[in-house]
Amino acid sequence: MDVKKEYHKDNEVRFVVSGVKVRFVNALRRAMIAEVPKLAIDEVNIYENTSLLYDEQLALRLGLIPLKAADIHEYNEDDAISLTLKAESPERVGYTVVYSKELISADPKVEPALGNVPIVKLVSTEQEINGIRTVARQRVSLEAIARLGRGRNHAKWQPVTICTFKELPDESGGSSKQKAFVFTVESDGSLPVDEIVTEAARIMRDKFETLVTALKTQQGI
Amino acid sequence: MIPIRCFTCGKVISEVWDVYKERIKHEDPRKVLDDLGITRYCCRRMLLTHEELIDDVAPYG
Repeated sequence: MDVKKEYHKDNEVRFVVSGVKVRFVNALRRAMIAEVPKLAIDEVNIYENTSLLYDEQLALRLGLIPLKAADIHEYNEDDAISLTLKAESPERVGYTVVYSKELISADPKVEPALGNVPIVKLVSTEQEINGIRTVARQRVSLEAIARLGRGRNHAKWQPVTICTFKELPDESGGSSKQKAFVFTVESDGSLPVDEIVTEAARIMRDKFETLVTALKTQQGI
Repeated sequence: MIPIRCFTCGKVISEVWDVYKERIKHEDPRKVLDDLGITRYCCRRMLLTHEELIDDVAPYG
């Protein structure tokens, strides 16, 4: 097996793997998509929502925001990280857009990977009741709970966006048939790409090790 | 409201919406998308075909 890195940008990596079978590369690809854990908002307690979006729409949007942790290994499935959001439309007629950077995390090591993701638009409109003009303001107040999860349960826990490989044409002229695959992996920002690849490989190794030990103990080899 | 992620590949595209919206007023959308690093056609259509309707709905909310 031979690995050659072609390029490595901020959130994207391309490398060539050769001397392995398709099934191996595919297992690695699937591990990256479905097995590598990351944090995402899973539960939302909405205290007040007078915005134009329904509670469900708001919760879905929050869930899709990639969250970045200083060290993902510090967390396990039972951990719950609370993020709060409180926002109100302006005092005068107009609007404000609530961005992901306004989410306040209870854990200083966890924060939205991208700060400029618009969550909701809050609009202030003028109202006239019995000849008295007032400004109706919209408010959002909520607590979001982030949990560790895996891509196999929901796409919001999938650390990669593009994660593909394709077979390279045989360069050696046909005599020695060694297959080579170009892998393209792009992270959504929650984990560094190289970490996703190594973590997926580690998960695969752990699974095989469990298999080996289980067989050993059961058959007394 | 612009969808947070691309429907097809899952890349977060909403982050560049504000910049995109401003720049297409006097620039070619193709160039703007290239500059912003939106390279795949699945992500490009998310921004190109998005129509901000929330302000039209607002009076009925």
